[in-house]
Amino acid sequence: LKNVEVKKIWDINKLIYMNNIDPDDAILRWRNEEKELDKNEDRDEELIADKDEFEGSENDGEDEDKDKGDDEDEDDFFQKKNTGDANEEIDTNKIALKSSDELREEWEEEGSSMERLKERFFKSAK
Amino acid sequence: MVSLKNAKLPTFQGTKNFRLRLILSTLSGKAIRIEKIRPDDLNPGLKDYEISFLRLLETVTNGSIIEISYTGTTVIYKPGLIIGGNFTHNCPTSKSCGYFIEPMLYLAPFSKKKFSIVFNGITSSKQDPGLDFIRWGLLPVMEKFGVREVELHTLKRGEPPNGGGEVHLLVNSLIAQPSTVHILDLPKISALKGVAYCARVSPSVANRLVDAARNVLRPTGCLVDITTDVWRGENSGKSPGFGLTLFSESKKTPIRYCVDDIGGPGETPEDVGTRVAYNLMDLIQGSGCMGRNQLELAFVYMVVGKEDIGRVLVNKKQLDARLVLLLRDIKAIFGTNFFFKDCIDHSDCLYATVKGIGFTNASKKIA
Repeated sequence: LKNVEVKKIWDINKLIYMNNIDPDDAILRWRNEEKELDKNEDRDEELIADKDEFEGSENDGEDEDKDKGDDEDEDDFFQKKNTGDANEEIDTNKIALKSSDELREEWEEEGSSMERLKERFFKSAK
Repeated sequence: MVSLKNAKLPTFQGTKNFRLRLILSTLSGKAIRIEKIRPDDLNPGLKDYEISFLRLLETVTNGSIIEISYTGTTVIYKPGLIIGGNFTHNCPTSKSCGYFIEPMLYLAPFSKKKFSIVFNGITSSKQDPGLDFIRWGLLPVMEKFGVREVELHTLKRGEPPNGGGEVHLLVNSLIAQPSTVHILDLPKISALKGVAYCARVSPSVANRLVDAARNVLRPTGCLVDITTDVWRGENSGKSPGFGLTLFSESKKTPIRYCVDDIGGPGETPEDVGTRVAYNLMDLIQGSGCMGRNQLELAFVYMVVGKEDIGRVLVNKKQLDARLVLLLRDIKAIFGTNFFFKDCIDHSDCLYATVKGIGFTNASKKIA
């Protein structure tokens, strides 16, 4: 059982309309790149846990109140997180395509790209 | 005038998707509120080009109410009827004419009168769609949805930063609603074409653009045909510049994959030509039935279409944050959802399906 890997499969149709998830995150999760997100979240949680441990001895009495507060926070967890910057000006820009150098490297490295392109899109290659 | 301040309206935050939110509101006839527009900026609120766009929207509609807060960080927009007509719009130099022309393509077919607008200002920029991109990339998409008589005439070229260009948008086709489309195949490309233009520089620049692009595109084995468009004298605007637009041609569909770009400071025509050519190949490889920049127009037309299911093939790479935001805005305003389904024939593609809302053009005169 140790070798069994549980893989999350995100449904794009649900992710798109989950308003509490930032559009960038929604796309990342759908492309199974949520591991990166999870790593970041884990790292944040570890940092918070370390901080609690460090301050724990002084705040033992407040733990019960804190737990209650945590339960309340859980409900609006997504509301507070991943909402992105609403003023980031992505609307007015054309879709950013890669630079010519990047593209040239890609095309030169992947020799089959051109063949694939020809086979799939170009009539003359039929 | 009835105040909309206290009314419950669909509310959006920030400047993302600003133009399309206003366009969707106009098409749906529903008032919207956009708040938190650059609240933490040194110059908070709307920029000059956004104000200019609101003015344009007010001109092409009748009875629209636009309320802007004192600081400019909140806008309430209650749309009126789309009436169109003949007029001139002076675009600020901070944005090119494409920024203003593109949203007009969403509204023009559903107008009472024909749209005949002359735009003065910058005709090409790195940020917004150029005139050739609109002509070769967006107008064919409109054609596919039944909007056939649309013309975009470049009367004068106006390169950044000073502009001085003049463009005439003419939409003769007034329709009740767009037709339902089912584009489920990848088009087979029969030729790669393009336009290399230059204004107030040596005509050899256009030839250098063509040569550079042709060198990249030649290995495709496809017919490559790039024309040059040299502007000089009074019609070439106030600043020098050059650019290239490349597009694909298919025999079965009017829709073309299209990319464009202009030369920046210190860039040689060879740089630009090579970049645009590689971008075209990258776009073709990562696209479904149309390019990423054309999808938004197609999606909005699909939503306002007949009460029937429309389907288009999109590449998985084309689904990005910007498209997700548009789909969310469509749901907030029209209340309709897109559904994405895996494509069996092409593993890297999805079918985007939506049921049209059955929009009818209430402004259209009965013939």
